[in-house]
Amino acid sequence: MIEVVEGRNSFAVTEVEDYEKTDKVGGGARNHKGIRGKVVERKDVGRCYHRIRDDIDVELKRQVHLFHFSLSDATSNTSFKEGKHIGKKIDNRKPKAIHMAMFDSSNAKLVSKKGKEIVSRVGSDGEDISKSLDFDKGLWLERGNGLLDGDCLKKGDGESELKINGIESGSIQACINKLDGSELVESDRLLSHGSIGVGIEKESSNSGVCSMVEKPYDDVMGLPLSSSLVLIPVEWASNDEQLLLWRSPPPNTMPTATSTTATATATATNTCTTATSGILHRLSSTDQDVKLKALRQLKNQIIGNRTKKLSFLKLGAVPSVAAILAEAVLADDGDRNNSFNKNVIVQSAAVLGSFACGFDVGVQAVLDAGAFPDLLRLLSNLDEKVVDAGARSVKMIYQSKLAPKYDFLQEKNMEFLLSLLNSESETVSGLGASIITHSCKTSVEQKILFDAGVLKKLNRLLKGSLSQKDSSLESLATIFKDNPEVVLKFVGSESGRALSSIIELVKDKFARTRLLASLCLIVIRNTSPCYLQDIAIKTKLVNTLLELLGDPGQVGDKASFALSSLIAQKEDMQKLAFENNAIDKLYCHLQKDSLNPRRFEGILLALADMCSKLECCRSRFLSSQVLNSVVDAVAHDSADVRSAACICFKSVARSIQNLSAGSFLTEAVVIPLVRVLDDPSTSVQVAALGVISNIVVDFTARRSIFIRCGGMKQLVQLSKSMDAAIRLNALWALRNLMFQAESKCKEGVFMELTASLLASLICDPEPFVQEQALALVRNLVDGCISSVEYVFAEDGIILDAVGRQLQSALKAEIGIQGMYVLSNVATGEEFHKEAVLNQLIPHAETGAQAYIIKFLQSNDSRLRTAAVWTVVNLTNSLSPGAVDRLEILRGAGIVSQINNMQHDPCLDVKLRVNTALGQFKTLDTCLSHSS
Amino acid sequence: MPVRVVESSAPSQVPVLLQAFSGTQNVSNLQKEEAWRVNVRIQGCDLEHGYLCGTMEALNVPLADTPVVTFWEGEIVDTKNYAFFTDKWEATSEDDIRHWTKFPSFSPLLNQVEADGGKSLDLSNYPYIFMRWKEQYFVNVGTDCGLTIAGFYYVCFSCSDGSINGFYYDPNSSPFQKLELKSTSEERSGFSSSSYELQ
Repeated sequence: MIEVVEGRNSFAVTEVEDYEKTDKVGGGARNHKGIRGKVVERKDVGRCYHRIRDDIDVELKRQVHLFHFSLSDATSNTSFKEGKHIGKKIDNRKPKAIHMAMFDSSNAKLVSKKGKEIVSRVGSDGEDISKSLDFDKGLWLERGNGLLDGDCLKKGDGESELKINGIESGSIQACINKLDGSELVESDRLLSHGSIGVGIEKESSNSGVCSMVEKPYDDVMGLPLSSSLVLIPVEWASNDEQLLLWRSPPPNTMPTATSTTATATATATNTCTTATSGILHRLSSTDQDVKLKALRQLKNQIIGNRTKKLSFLKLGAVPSVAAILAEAVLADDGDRNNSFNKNVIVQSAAVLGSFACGFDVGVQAVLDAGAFPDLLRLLSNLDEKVVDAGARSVKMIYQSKLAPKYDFLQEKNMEFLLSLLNSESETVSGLGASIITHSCKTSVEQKILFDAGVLKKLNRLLKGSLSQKDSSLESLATIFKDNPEVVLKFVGSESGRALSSIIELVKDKFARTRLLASLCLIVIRNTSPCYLQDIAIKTKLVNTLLELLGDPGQVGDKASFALSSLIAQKEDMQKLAFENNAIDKLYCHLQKDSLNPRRFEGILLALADMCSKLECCRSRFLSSQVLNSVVDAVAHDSADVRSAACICFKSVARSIQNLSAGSFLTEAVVIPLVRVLDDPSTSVQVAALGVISNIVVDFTARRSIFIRCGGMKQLVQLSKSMDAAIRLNALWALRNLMFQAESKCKEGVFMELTASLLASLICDPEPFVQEQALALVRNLVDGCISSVEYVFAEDGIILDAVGRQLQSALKAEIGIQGMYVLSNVATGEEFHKEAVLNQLIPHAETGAQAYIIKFLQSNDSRLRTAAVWTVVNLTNSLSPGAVDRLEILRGAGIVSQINNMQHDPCLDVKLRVNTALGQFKTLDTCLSHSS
Repeated sequence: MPVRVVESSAPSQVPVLLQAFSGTQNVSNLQKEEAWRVNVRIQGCDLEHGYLCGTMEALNVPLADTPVVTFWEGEIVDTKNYAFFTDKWEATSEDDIRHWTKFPSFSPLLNQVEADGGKSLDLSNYPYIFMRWKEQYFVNVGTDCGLTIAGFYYVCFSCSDGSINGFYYDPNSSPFQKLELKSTSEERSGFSSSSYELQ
């Protein structure tokens, strides 16, 4: 079934069949080829289906579908009910002119020539046109529906407008103006790219007859007859299939309630089932004509229709078609005249390609049916059409992760790949590039592709057609990724011309090309940071990506991720983006209604990267109220959005200035965060723990809010999780919560945690968990002197655990945090100091070397500092205990070790060593006096 | 207690070993002798950017019911991010020199600072850290508390004994108000510390 969608109604065409007929025109004949079918109107979905007797002529030859029917609600109703002829004949000749332009009609307003917003205007048929102008659901404007010349669609963002002209004379023109005056694009210079936008057709000389569209891109696009202008919601359109018609809108864009839609779908499915099994039956017919027809029908049915694909798949259509292909390939004798068999090959390959297009289940079925080798064989066929059909289908498969890996290391494979890239055919060379994008993973493969001269071929494609440019850019990025050697050679090749041509493509007129060129440059920069340091290029990249955020389709979805990879970890790039208003622009896109989850996630992550290092970005972010939207997003339906919202918040919450002001610990923030700690998704939990870790470093007395909201108990529960990442982050949050905390707060946490749980966390199998557990204990025993007692609870199991970990510490960080625990405990009473000494020198009598010696000799100055501190605290008083402790330390070789450290290269260590030596001297003097 | 402010560490960490100080700020003028008790907490540090921040609590402020807490941000004079010359906050280079030379530990550096502003000095191993602290906002009182935070402090921190000395500079306040702080270790016998790490 082919669906045609207009504003509120959806038109479906069923019983599609091929047809061919010849008209006599003047002295010659005009040949019509295509398919035709009957129109079913799904008016007010779910309520009724009208069958229309009149045929619809549909041209499918390349990228065209042509329809004509009345458009406003009123007239379409009338014509359907009366069963009037609604199809019109199609002229198969080239169009006079078709112009398309990008214009996202969502959030647009219809504004009159005089600048007034049009709320209602009565159309020529008496209908209030404001009702039929439903921008979000698509818009079909035509002469007679009430529009006047000079009306325009204005975007809410004030960035662009689409002006309508010539509507009264029947030759609609439109132009898109950028309101800042920087660009004025006239309709006849516009071409559509990617998903869709506006189709504008100028009056053609053979008026009254539809013309066809020459599409610059493989995407599906249909255009209406002359004197009409179509705006289609962008989300309806996106795909790579070549044969085209209007796509069916996804169910959720249908304007009626879900229940009625479901009924409608059920009815529709029933209607179709008979036709479905009929086709399958005919596929196995012995009559070749019947079989070929069935293939065509099958193809037309499944294109762009996932549901259809799935139902045919379940009926076993793929193996049947694969068998037909195999048979036809065998029968192919290279005889160019056997056009019938060629046709079977082309049609069956197209069917398999369509099953595989954007549909992994389909790809798997095609692979399982063993059709892949047969499709590959088509590429060496002598017939161009066969090669093209084969290449198209193989490319669909290579766009899926499920495609078999292409082995570049085999010489004959490489030769074959080069022959593909050398091909004059756009489809075939594009396939070559897709294979690289799919299969090149390792640096060995990147190198071998480079050595084989693939880059030169891809450079050539950069000057080719739109699709060649795009696939070449994708492949180049794949070959460069993380391979400085290849990047170096590429940048130097052709005296930098190759690189310049990519830079040039960042300014291309097509959004997708601009995105891919930007991504390619980002890969080069991230692989070899020494290149592309020119400020003009960096600025251009930033601004291009910020501008692409406004693209309504997939390009816009991906632009934010590209921006992230450009600025992540790079303070200079973040600063540059900040200076180009990235925060404001991202926020502006974040505020739009009905963001799809992917786009929402991308914008949040880009904001996270923007705020990861620079305080100026964070304060800009916080001054714009965007935090409220981010906090709301913590409760979003999509787990990816929830997680991204937390990551974004975490980044902003690194602002010490705001932590000091207590800006984050409010109930409005804490309650949703604590709630999301229970999230079913581990990554959301971890991200939420990340935010909490930061915001509890609050220097005002607001931590009680967090505890009152149940946050602390949740953290303790999560520290017992089976998942190491959750344990780690829960402990991290507790450790920060305990930073300089009040005694009462510490007491609450300790009661909840218990000494035995803490001891077992210190001995956790995961070193990162051990480190955080030790840091938590260090903070617990700091502050009020009585808190030292915590490590002595339950017979000192915590202190013992610390000692054990220090003995076997694998990471410096464990040694550091463990030593600071001992160091803090050693600032307590004599009894506490003795206990620390016992931990430090457990085998004093056996003469074994104490681990603290190892720490004092460590390469890590932080560890040396921590170890010296412990010794300082053990020997700082003049009590007899201190004198005895010094003797024990001396006996263990620690005193002489510290003596050797007087010239430590680290100032910090050196100063602490001086303190320790000073104390030793005092104690020794004291001892000699007393003896 | 001798301590150094920070341990060097991975950039994502903000480790602050030395956290709490207490002492006095002398606000005497011709009319009266007066000193406020002051507590300072260092809360964050980013050596790479020469940044330090924290809070300052003034205890016996006349006319104030509660202790007055302010948040300040510090510039560490590391000759990379920040120089000895302030170049802002109404401080001329003469004001700068006049204040820095009040610290005895500055005198070995004076010639070089006068020659090239101290650009060629490597202070990373110098046992004193010079800073400017600028109060940014009042944490617990309104701006109508009758106090001003218009000025800033020239600060010298001694790595060997953990003491902090400073001079408040505000062209509209009494000159050379002296800040004297010592590291506090509560009732402990030795030096104890906490740490946090931002994610």
